[in-house]
Amino acid sequence: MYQPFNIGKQFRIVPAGTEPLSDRTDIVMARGAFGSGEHETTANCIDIMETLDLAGLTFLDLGSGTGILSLAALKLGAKCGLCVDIETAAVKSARLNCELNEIGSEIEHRCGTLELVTESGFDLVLANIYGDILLALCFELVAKVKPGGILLLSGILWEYNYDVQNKFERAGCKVVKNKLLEEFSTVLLIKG
Amino acid sequence: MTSPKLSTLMAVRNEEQYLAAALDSLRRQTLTDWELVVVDDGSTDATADILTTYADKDQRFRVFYQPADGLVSALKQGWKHCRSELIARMDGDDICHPQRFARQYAFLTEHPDIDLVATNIRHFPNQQVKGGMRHYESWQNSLVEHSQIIRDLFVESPFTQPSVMFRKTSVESVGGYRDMGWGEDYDLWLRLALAGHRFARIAETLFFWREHPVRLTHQAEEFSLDAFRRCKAHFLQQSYLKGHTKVTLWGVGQEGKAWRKVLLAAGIDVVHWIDVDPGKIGQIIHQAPVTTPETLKPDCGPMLITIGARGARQQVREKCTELGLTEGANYVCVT
Repeated sequence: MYQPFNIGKQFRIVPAGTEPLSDRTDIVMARGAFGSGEHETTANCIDIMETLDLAGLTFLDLGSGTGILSLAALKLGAKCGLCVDIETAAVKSARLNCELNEIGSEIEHRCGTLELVTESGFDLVLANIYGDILLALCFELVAKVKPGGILLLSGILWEYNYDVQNKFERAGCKVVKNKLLEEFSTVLLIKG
Repeated sequence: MTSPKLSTLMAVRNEEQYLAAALDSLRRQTLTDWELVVVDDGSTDATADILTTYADKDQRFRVFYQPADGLVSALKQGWKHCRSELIARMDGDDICHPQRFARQYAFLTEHPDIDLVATNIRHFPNQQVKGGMRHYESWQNSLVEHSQIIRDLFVESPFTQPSVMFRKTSVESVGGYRDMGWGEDYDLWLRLALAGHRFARIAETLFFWREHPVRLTHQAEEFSLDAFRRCKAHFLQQSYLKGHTKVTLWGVGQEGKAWRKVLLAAGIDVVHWIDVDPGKIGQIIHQAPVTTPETLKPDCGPMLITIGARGARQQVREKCTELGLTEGANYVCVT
């Protein structure tokens, strides 16, 4: 059990069974572990997602962890998404958190790497994973997004920030926002 | 024209691939009153165009050109144009944390007794970084206080050059940069130490050191292991080994034998070997006996620890303490 805490302008992370408040949308998370919103990259991704119009969008959440970004995306109006994580425990945790938030068929869960994702044409890609992995997956990841689609990349250590921006620009994206945090950074891009 | 709070000195050649990232990391510094003195040492790629673009939009970027003449020549050329008493070094392929200048500037301002301050460093990108580099990174970052840096001064170069900030007058007092056929940075640190200047490290990761196959450290003869040994022997002769012509080496391996050659060329004979390998104890190698550590006494004369194996240094230090030997007086670690 943990104390509820606010994240972004409109969300509150709460344990199951917490009474709702009127001014914030609750995201129920099984426990307040890493990836439940305390980390600066998660919080920053949610800050940025709140500024976007996600209504009706489809998304891919690569490195989905606890599923918090996917849950926020759905609560911000996204239609449906695909959560992918290489860790079995992470997939299990994301499934549980979806159940706690009464999310069912809107989210599909897969355990593995980007290679498992044969679909493309997503409106939005969320990838809160390390910068060096983003660099390695750049072209494959961009190929998953439809033209005009959005990529929200985070988990990028400072030293990789420039290289990530540069490589994704070379892959046909435009940097819309680049936020440097304490240790990590977040980059928001639009595919041209 | 007034002097900025600090000058940043950079020398580049054919750095088009990473230069913009390095320059952008300077533009992101929270301390904004700096100048960059960058010397293009005869680049043949787009380096000059990149530098011009930055200089055109930001007058803090001061670019100088010279025909290709080498790193030391370019640093000396740039040095003449640095207007501040505090100089930060930087390379064209690395990244600074935005707080780097602010932290180092504040440190040197608050600690007038310190002449050079480094920061913790971190190699990147992960896929390129081999185990040895991580080990070097962790060793370097562990040396925070002046006494720790001095104790390990002959083990390896204790600072990543582009991560340091130093006082111009201190460096000038020991002759500035020079080319001796070994790393100009290590040469400078050793001269500063010999002259009694003081070092420190800010134990925060404020510098990101890019690893790539064409990095100068991997290519130039000045950074070969043999050049390092020659450099160390040169300075040991002026400090710990001053006035000595005979020495004991602990470690009868390849490293020890390579050290023997370098010392011999400097006029110093290895008269005694120490080893723990039963197969080597009792042998005579190059006219010098091999004995166990237990035969050591404080009056045995100077001894260099030349064991190449990772992790052995700490074991040797513990054994020496057990034997009543004092580091810096009875022995010095050179590997």
